[in-house]
Amino acid sequence: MKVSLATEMAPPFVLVAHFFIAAIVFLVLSGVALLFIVPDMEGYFIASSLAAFSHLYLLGFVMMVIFGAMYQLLPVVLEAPIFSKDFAYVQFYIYLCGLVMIVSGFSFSALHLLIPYGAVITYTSMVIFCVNVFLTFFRLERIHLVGKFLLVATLFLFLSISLGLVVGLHLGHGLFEIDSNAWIQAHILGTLAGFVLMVIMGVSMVLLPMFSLSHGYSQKWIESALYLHSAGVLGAMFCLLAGYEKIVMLCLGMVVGSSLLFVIQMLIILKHRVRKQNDYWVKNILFALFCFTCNLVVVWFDVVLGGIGFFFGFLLPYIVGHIYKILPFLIWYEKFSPLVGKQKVPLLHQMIQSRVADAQTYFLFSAIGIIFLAKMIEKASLFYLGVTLLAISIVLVVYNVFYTFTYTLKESHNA
Amino acid sequence: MNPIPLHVDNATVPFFTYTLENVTFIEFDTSLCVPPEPMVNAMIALEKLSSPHIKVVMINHRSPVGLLAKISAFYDIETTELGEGKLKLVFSYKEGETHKADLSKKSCAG
Repeated sequence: MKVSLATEMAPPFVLVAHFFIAAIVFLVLSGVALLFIVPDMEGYFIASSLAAFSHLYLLGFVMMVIFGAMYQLLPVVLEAPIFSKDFAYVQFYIYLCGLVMIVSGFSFSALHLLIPYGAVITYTSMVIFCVNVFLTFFRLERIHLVGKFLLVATLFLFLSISLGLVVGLHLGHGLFEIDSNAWIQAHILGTLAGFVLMVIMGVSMVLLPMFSLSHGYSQKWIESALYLHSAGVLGAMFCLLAGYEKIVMLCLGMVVGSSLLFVIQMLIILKHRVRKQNDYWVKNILFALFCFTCNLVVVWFDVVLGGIGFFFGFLLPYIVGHIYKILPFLIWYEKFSPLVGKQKVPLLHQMIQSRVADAQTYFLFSAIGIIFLAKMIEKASLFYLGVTLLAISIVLVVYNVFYTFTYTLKESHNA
Repeated sequence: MNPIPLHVDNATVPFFTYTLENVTFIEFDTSLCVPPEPMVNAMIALEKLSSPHIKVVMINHRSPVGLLAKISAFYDIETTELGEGKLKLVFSYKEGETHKADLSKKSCAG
C-alpha cells in the first residue's frame, strides 16, 4: 500500500496536536513519578504505586500518542475520513478527566475511591474512540493489511477496557465476584499485546517504509503475525479468565512467535531501505527492536524487569523516534505547505535539533542499560542514576518537541 | 541530449533541463527524498509547465499518490518503472485543462 502521512481526509492538525501535547506532558510527569516508585520495584507487580505509574505512562503517554496517531493515520490508511471529529474532541477531554482520577486514586490512598469513577469515565472515552473507529471501518468495502491490524487492535482495546472496568468496580466497591489477579493480567495482556502492540505492528508497516524509502520486500512475516498474534492474545485472555493456566503458556508462546515475526519484518524493511543514513530515527527503531526481542525472553523470568524493558526499552524509543519524524511533517504541512513555491520552506530535518536528538538518544540508551543492570543486581543507587538519565532524555525530547512546534521561517533562513 | 543545470528558486534538489525534438524537458530526482520534498519540488516544477512544448520529468521512489490525486486531471502523465523501485513520471501539457490547475494550494502530500 502506498500512503502518505497526510491527505485531504486527515483531521485538522489541532485535533492531533491535542493528543501529542498531552502525551508529552504526561511523559514528563511519568519521568518524575518514576523517581518515586523505586522502593516498590522489588515488590508485587500490581502494587498501587506501580499501577499509578503504569497508568500514567501507558494511558497518559503511550495511549495518547496512539490515539493521536490513529486519528491522523486511519483516514490515510483507509482512504476514508474518520467517522466523527467531534467524537474525537469529546473523547480527548473525557479521557483526560478519567486519567487524572485513576492516577490520583492509585497514587494517594485517601483518593482510592476515585479509581472506579475514573475507570468508568476513561472507559466511556475509550468506548467513544472504539465506536468512532468501528463506524469508520463500517463504511469500507475492503480492508487492507494495516487496516486489519488497526481494526483487531481496537477490538482488543474494547475487550480489555471492559475487563479493566469490571476490575475497577470490583476493587472499588466489591462488585462482581472475580479472580482479580487473573482479570488484571488479562486486562494488561489485552491492552499491551492486543491493542498497543497490534497498533504498532500495523502502523509500522506504513511508517517504516515511508521514512526509510523501502520497497520490494515480502510482507509474509507480518501477514503471518496478524493471525498468530490475534489468536495468541485472544486465547491467552480467555484462558486466564477461565483458569486454563497450562494453555495460557501455549497462547503466550504464540504471542512471542508473532512478535518475532514482527521484528523480522521490520528488519527486512530496514534492510531494503534506500536511505542508508543511520539518523536518530533509525537508532531509536533498532534499539527498540533489540530491547523488544530481549524482552520476549526476560519477561518470562521477571515481570517487573520485562515491564521496564517494554515500557522504556521498546515503547519509548519507538514512539520518540517516530515523533521526530511525524511531528515535523504535520507541523510543516500545517504551517509551511501553503508557502511552497512562493518562498523557501524548511525541510523536515531542519525542524528537529539533530544534536539534541542524538544526545537524547544516547541518554535514553544509557538509562535503559543502567536501569536494567540496577534491577538485576538490586542496587537502588544505580537505579536512581538510570532514572536520572532517563529524566534528562525526556527533557531533551520535550525541548525538541517545543522547538518543532515553535519553528519559524526565520530559523529556516538562518539554517 | 545534454542536460544542463537549471536554477529554480526554493527547489530542494537539483533541476536540469534539456531539449529533445523541440520539447524542453525539466527534470529533477526526488527518489532519495521523503515527503514532503517530492511534492514540494513537483509543485514548483509544474508551475513551469506552461505550454505543450514543455514537459516535466520527475524521478521518484514510488508513485506520489498525494500529488497525483491533486493534479492528475490537469496533466497527461506517463509513468515508467526504472527498476530498483524508482518511477519516472513525465507530465505533459493537457490542452484545455492544465491552465485550470491551481498550484497555489499545496494541500497534498505526495
